[in-house]
Amino acid sequence: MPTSHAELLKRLHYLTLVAGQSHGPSLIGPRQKKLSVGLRDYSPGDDYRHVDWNRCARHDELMTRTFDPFDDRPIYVLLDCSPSMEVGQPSKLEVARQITTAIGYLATKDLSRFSVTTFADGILGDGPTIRDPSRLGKLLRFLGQLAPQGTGTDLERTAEHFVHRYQRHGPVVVVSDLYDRDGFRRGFDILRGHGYEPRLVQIIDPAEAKPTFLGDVELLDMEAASGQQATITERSVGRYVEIYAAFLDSVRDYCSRCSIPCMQITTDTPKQSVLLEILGGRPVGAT
Amino acid sequence: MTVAHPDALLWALMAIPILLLYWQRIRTPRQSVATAIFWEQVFAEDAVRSRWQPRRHAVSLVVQLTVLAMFVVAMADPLIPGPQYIVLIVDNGAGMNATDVEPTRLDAAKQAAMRLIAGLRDCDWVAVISSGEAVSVRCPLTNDPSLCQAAIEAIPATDGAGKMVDAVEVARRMIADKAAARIVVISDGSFEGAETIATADDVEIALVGSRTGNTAITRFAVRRNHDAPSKCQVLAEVASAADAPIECRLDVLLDDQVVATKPVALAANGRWQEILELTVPESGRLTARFDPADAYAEDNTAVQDLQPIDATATDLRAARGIGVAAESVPPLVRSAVRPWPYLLSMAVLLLVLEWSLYQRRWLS
Repeated sequence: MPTSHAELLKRLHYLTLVAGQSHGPSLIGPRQKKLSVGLRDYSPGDDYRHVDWNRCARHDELMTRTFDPFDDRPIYVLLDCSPSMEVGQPSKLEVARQITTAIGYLATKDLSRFSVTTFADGILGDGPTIRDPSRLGKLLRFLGQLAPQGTGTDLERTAEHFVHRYQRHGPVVVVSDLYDRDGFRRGFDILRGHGYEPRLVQIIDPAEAKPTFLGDVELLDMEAASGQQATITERSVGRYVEIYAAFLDSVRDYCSRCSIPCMQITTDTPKQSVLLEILGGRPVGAT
Repeated sequence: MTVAHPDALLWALMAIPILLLYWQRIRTPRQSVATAIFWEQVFAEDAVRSRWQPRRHAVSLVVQLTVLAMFVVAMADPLIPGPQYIVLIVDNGAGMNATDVEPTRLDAAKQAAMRLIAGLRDCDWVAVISSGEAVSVRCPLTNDPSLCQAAIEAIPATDGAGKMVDAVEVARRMIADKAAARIVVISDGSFEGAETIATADDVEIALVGSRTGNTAITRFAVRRNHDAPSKCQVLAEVASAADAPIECRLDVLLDDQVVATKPVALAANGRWQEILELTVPESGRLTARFDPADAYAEDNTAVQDLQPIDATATDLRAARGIGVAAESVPPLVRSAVRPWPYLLSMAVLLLVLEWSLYQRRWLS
């Protein structure tokens, strides 16, 4: 991450305030009220947000509210680390890291449990589970070590493994370019079918939406790690743009039909706009 | 094929820049894409065009090289030859019976002639001549290969010296009025006039066999002794054409019975000669034989008929022995009684014989 931990937190806090003024919904939905199950004496180090300030006013004693540990609302991020995420300037993976950080901040600010799972042609690994914004540094270190892995994107297989690994239901934000040869729908259907609340952040490289190269080239598929001789003409580029736009439309249609919150973000979108969009502010320019 | 303008063939070097440009074209740059899913859909919609596109450079190269080749050939102005006339002379002299080439030199020559005929075009004409003891036209000029092949197969082996010079003359007469004509001699090169024929412009010599050393009985003569008719003198000469000295044994047989044996030591390309005195009262077939290991065995044996003892000579011996009266003796016998005329006559006779042996070689 290009910025330091403190600077990032400051920026996220500022953007959260800005987003709050716009009263827009955040990506992970409205904050859920947690019910207190008891009180105990305050001890130094307790989160001041858990102090029962009404009781303090009435009885002049500091008491800390306690909550059911199983009442945490877990928020998951499925982060695509397939080779196709390496493309772009900045790379799609870099943008995905920023988005994941913002979601993590948003989740921990609401006292929710947040965890990251990386995937490509299957689940690659799990990041740290955090509950407090002060632990975001741990998350940032994990995200900073990520590199493209695997061969291809297999969302269905990833979702199957995910629903067996994490039994507690909650929002699952899929951050990916969705370049799954077998289609992205099946993966989302599995998540929905098992009671999770999938969300989608699709990251797009503008050069992928409209290629600029022409002539005889050897197309190297980064997902399949294979080459293909081809002659790219204006006509074939035009047809490609149509097919790619139809793909993006199909993603939006699917999400709309299944009530899945969907964001399609291009890598050239300013970072601040992207974070604001994630935090519930005004929408970014990208569809 | 000959061309009118050989310099124009240098234009074929234009193929080098064409190939370099082709190589430059086929070096396609690599373009990394996140996924080829969408490109595959594009190409799948126009599958025929997609299959053609990668091959178009190769097709273009073939077309360009073909056009260049046509230009070069046109500028070089090739001269397409008309029918050619070939007279094939197959040597079937005695030397072609040598076995240094399996099975014999003559068979190897026939095979070479068959190969030559197999490589001719339909419009070419061939004649076949053999040059053994006598020159023989085995097949006149024809463009039917089967006739020529049959004629070549029918060429026999002979024991005589090849008359190659005569055969070449016959061949020249056959193609005297032909423009594209040539004479092909298939031989071992051991024939009279070989050097002259080898330097002739219109004759090509295809050699069969290899140079091998040969040893032969070059002279063999026998006569009875006038003084002692039961005795005979045998003249034997052996010549070597080998590059190394040879030691062997010469046997003289009378009707398969060995009557004399002489060791023979021959220097490289040397000659050995000796007159043997034999006592052979019987008549019969006298054979000289020696067996050095050479490729041609036929000249290692020589045969002469030994005549029976002459009755006149017997009478003469008897007259001398019993003292016949001078009057009854014929004039020649009478003179023989006198020693000087007799010796003189013998000397003259010997001189004549020597002269004949060494100068006229009538016995060889």
